[in-house]
Amino acid sequence: MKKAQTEVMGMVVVVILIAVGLLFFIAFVVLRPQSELEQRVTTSVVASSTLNSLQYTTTTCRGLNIQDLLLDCATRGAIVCDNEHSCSYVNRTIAYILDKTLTVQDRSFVFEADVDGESLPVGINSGCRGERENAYQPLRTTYGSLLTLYLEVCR
Amino acid sequence: MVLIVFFFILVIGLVFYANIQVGSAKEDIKKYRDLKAIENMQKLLFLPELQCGGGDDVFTCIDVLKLESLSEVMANGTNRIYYSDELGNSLVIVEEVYPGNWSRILYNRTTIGTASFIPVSLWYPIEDEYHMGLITIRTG
Repeated sequence: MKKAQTEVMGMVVVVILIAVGLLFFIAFVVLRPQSELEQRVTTSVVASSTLNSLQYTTTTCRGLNIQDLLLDCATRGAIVCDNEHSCSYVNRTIAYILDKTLTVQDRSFVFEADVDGESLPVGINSGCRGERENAYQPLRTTYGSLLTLYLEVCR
Repeated sequence: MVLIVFFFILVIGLVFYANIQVGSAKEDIKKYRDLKAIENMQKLLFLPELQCGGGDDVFTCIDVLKLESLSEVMANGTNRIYYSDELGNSLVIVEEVYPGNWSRILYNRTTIGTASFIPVSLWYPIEDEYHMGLITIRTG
């Protein structure tokens, strides 16, 4: 009887050892966070550098850049290119550029612009999901109002 | 009997531990590659051989004329060694996405590894125009 009891005690110890070992395995291997250092750094750089580069990009509309077209969209809306007013032209151009630079990296994004808090008819939303990084750029219009550009890039 | 089972469990534990160490080593290698990719990206963006001199507030900007010259310089035998020390095993591609559509391999010493992408402005100094570009850096 005593021998049997000792055997059972031994088995219990073995089961406990297995359980502890499995716990360590799950904690240190299965649940270990993967290195996302490169993703985090490049996401934070991508949003700000994209917005910065985007606004200075020269378009095929009379050689004006994106910033000029957005400012026109926010004020007079007088510029017309390819039978399109500045707002729809710049919206289409921004969508194309962001698709070529961000979607190709498997990143989703949201681009918006507003003047003194009122949304402009310029905006693209590719369905942001995952970790987000924001960049914004304020611009002063000739009328004194504040045009703000927002770009949110997601992983 | 218990001793046999105990040693059996011990062996399994050692196998688990070895797997953990291998996983940990792979993680360290990935972290090193990530850091190297970030380092190469920063080096490239701040190379005087590529930086713009336009004076505008564009902070990630590449001079296209310099780019054309640099790709020839980098391919030269002696210079290749210098840039190998700077950029190591990596592949650097610069492409224009708007309004033009071209791509150029600036530096090539590897094709494996993770890719990092950075949107940049491509400055054409003669026309004084900025075009939208993308740099791809693949670090092995």
